[in-house]
Amino acid sequence: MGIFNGIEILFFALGVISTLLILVLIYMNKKYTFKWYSWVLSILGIFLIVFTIGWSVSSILEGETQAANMGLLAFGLPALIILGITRKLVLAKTQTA
Amino acid sequence: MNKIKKIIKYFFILSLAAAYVSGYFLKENGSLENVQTHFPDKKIVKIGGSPDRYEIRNQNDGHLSSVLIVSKSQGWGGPLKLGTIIDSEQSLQQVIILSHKETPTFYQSLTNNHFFIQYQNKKINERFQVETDIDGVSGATISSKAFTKAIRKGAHWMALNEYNMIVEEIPIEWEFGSNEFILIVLYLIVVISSLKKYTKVRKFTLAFGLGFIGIYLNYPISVSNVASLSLGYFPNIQEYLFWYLLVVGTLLLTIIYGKNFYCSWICPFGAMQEFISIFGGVRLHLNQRTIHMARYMVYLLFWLSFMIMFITSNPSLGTFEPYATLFSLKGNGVQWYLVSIAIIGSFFIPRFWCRFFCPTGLILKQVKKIQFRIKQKMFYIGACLFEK
Repeated sequence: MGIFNGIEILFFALGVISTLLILVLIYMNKKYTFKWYSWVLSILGIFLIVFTIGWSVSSILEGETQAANMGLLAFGLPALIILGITRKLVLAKTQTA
Repeated sequence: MNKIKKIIKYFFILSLAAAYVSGYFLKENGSLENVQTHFPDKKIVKIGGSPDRYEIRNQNDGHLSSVLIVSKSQGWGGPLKLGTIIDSEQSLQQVIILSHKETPTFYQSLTNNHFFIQYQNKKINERFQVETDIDGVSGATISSKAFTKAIRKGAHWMALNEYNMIVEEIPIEWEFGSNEFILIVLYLIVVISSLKKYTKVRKFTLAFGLGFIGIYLNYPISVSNVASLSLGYFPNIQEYLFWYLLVVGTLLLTIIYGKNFYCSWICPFGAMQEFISIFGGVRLHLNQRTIHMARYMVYLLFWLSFMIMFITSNPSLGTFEPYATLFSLKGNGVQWYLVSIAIIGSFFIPRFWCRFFCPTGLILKQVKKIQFRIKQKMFYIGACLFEK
């Protein structure tokens, strides 16, 4: 038996991912200066990404592979779309400026 | 803008006061109902009060299977209440926990290490002393002692009053050992070095704090300690001298000297973050606006935490600090999530947790601020009197 179980490792990894993504956001904000809606969209996107990983990995740990796939589709895809839109909005604003 | 800030400030203070009062008047579940939930297929009959005692009978034939006595004691987070079940042979059969306010990680350590199982079949007039008769759980020593004390109280009461057995009286002694001595020496070094501005010593005291208070004792000051004090949960000073030295000692030093010694010189979690940022070597510089926003986040977390603790009158429920998880390597998913946030954040921003999340640091900072204001006012009054 190991020291940590799957859920503990998963949550630790989720903490790592969310902190890194937030720090990237802070770095990007310094470079491009986000508008308020870019902040809202990017935080929503990050939340969805973290939620998707959490949902899918915990589903696999519980042996529910179909739920894991559904999680990727229902939360992962919107997360990528939202982050894509945010990137476009930020870059467009920078180019016009 | 200032008006909005004032309104929010008063809302925070008034809501905390309301939570405190409502928590005080919210009554706990009655003992009988509480005991019955542990034995759904048994008939529970109350046979006496002060302390509460119950007979546990079979539902079908009404046959008496055992007797339960309720006893209380003071733990790390606040008062705890348990039921000791005694069979006809005057032996302990089982211990059930009726209510407790211990930090979940500490309580989990006890159950994971089968702490309560070791009481089974022990005679009720035994000594029940942690370290000599009972194995305490390392990293949850105070909780081990508190639960043992409650069990001993119940068992010995039954032995003396119901079964006329001889019970060895255990005197309460001052718990002044090497740990207490080391902490006092650490305080002395910190206060002298800080006042004399020997800043090079700070790295050593921080490293020592990390090893001694963090890894060895797993005793960092938590927001739940301050909440325990404000809720009036004062543990016995003779048995919990270290608790008083650490929590009350830190608050007193901050009040006397107007300096937050704990955060900058001792805190094991702060030390860990500082060492990570030194070894990490990566820096993400924050602008003033982000730092300003971060301050509001600490206030919000502090408010949420104290609202939960005051409404439930339970300091362990509002604690979100991951110290215990990091130093004991035991905790649930959310606690591990917070540990990783603190560790990874510290690689890029020094003292990441302290700046964005730590409610204990905020309390000590506020104490320092209040001390400074009082000192200023006293000085002003003194100057006015002198002029007259």
